[in-house]
Amino acid sequence: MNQKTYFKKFSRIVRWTLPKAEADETLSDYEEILSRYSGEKESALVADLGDPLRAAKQLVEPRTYHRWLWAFGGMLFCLLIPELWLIKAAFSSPPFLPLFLLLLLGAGIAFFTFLPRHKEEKAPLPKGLFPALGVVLLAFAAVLVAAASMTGLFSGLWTFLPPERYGMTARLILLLAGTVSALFSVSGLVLARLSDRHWCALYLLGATVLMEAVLVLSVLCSLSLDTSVPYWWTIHALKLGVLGAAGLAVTGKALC
Amino acid sequence: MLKKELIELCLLYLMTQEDLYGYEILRRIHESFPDTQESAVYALIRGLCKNGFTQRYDGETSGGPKRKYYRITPAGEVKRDQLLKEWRRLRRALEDIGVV
Repeated sequence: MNQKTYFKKFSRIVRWTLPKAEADETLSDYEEILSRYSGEKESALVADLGDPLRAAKQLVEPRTYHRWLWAFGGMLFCLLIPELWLIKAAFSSPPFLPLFLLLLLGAGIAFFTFLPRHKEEKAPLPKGLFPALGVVLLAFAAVLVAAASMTGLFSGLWTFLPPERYGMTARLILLLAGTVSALFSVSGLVLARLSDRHWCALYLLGATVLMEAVLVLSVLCSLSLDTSVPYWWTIHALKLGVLGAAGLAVTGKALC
Repeated sequence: MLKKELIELCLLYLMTQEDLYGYEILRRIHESFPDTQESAVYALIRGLCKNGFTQRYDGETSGGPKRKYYRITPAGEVKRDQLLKEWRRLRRALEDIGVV
């Protein structure tokens, strides 16, 4: 193992297991320590320092690390439940309140975990964050189109399909958009820990789109839906709007 | 007194004499404890820092990146004295038995 691969492996483990400030200090010390292992000395690296996993493990404070694992588990839980609902697609009524609470819980844990306690210098946003947010926004647009088609707004979009396929196609779009958003959301969470806290904006936007997809699907599947009432969809649109606005607000806050 | 505490005593003692940067501390300790892995010693340095016994700061260098130094704090001096007292007590006990 050479100096570069050692540092790469070590820094990944350290960033995952230690809080950011501590990881920064440790890595800057290790950069200096490793700089003397150049050329022939590289062979002595593992013997002197131990393998990267062991070296990093010695620095871990179990209580702090377990706290992070609980937070990570909590944030994953806020994605897993809606994703299961999306896959199962069995709703008696739209689960607006549970979704809203899950979004707030996920955002609360994310802010508590990633937001700096003290004012920090403004740093540029990480490379790749905006393209990733763009992909999730595309998924958001797909969900919104599926939602608007319920109201008959984009009914022209479906004319190339036989009517019996409408429901299946809408479900497939929502499942795809929601799942892609959930996957981006998880990667945002991991990158927020390993690289830059701003990535938690991707977690929050992904979670929002997933939850919107669940809400739209639940309205489509709802047994109690009475479409004979004029403007029956306004209450659902309002709920979608509230959930979307809350999601976009927390995403914006995470980008600051 | 375990080896861990003995190395902590050495670390605090070294920092009493002068402020040192990470690699320099590792090098000096490794000379006296060659069978102890440097990563283990580094974990002790971090532990002392986290518990407020030492402090890390950016040192001045002429050109190049700033070197990170460690210095002992008043709490560290108290800890060093406690460890030293404990070490002396143990040594006396060993002398009484005739081990050393």
